[in-house]
Amino acid sequence: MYTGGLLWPFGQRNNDGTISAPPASDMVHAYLQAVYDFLLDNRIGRYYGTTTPWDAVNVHVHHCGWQDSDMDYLYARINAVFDPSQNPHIGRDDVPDARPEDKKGTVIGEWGITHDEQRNTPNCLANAFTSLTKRFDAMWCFQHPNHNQDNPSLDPGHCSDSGSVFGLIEWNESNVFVKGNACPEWSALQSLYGNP
Amino acid sequence: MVDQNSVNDLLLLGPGLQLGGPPNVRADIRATRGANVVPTGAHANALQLYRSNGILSTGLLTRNFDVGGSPNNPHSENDNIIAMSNAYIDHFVGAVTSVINQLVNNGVGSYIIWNEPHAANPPTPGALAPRNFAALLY
Repeated sequence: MYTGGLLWPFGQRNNDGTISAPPASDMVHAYLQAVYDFLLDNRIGRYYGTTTPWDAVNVHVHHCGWQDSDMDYLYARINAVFDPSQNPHIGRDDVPDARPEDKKGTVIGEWGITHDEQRNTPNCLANAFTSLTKRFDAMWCFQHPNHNQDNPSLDPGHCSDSGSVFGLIEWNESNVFVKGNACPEWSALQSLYGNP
Repeated sequence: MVDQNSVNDLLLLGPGLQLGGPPNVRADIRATRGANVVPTGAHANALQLYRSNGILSTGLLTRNFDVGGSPNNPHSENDNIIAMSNAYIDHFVGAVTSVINQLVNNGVGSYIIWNEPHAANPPTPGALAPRNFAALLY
């Protein structure tokens, strides 16, 4: 069982503009620590002889354009939640009760790039793939059939679409699923899978 | 729709899909809108198709799996937590138990509980307070 994916909100708009990589990692850290601390408050975790209710912590890292060091920082911030020297939670016996073993695995529940990014950012897909595969235990690509994340009513759409549109293939369906054109991301991903 | 055509395209992505084991599809298991009842037969057909083609499945159970405020689950996922649960979570757990029992032989090896609980700003349906997410997982 995996935790629902915690979005790494890199590039999302907020009141101050767009969220850069370090604050995005800090936001994942803050939420995950609040979840874990509530479990510790209820005597759930290795320190108490029980187990955290997941097999892996799950993070969603969309898009590209971050530095490899940004993924180092995200990974470190996740680990910090479970590090008693970095998590100030004090439990029974007035001692820190966080434990690294409580994290278990770390997976990427969604990763992927938009068609805009494929067109406009050189090596976008390859850089994201390489940066993520060397740190995380498993990855799910978002996503296979073309999909407009902001406006699903526009699906199936086309590989040429702009905006928050993800996908590897054009498609349509009536009684059966019919594959249309493969987007450039399809062959790029096939190459990456074949040449990890 | 998940059918052999769509599965064939996934398989064509290549042998590298098996980097760390068999390929694995994240399958969004949703309830029918309005009625809030999961059509397990349709999901079982899709999952079985993946399995027969050597693809494992991970079931994704989000708010759309058991919609709070619906006729058969009028509660809210952000209701107060008492003893690591609330009425929404109790209903969610009951629905999960029923669905897992019906899908257990269809190649679903794991489940993801919820989706992006902290994502929305301002919060939208599906955003969970950390303690509610912790209790739901527990």
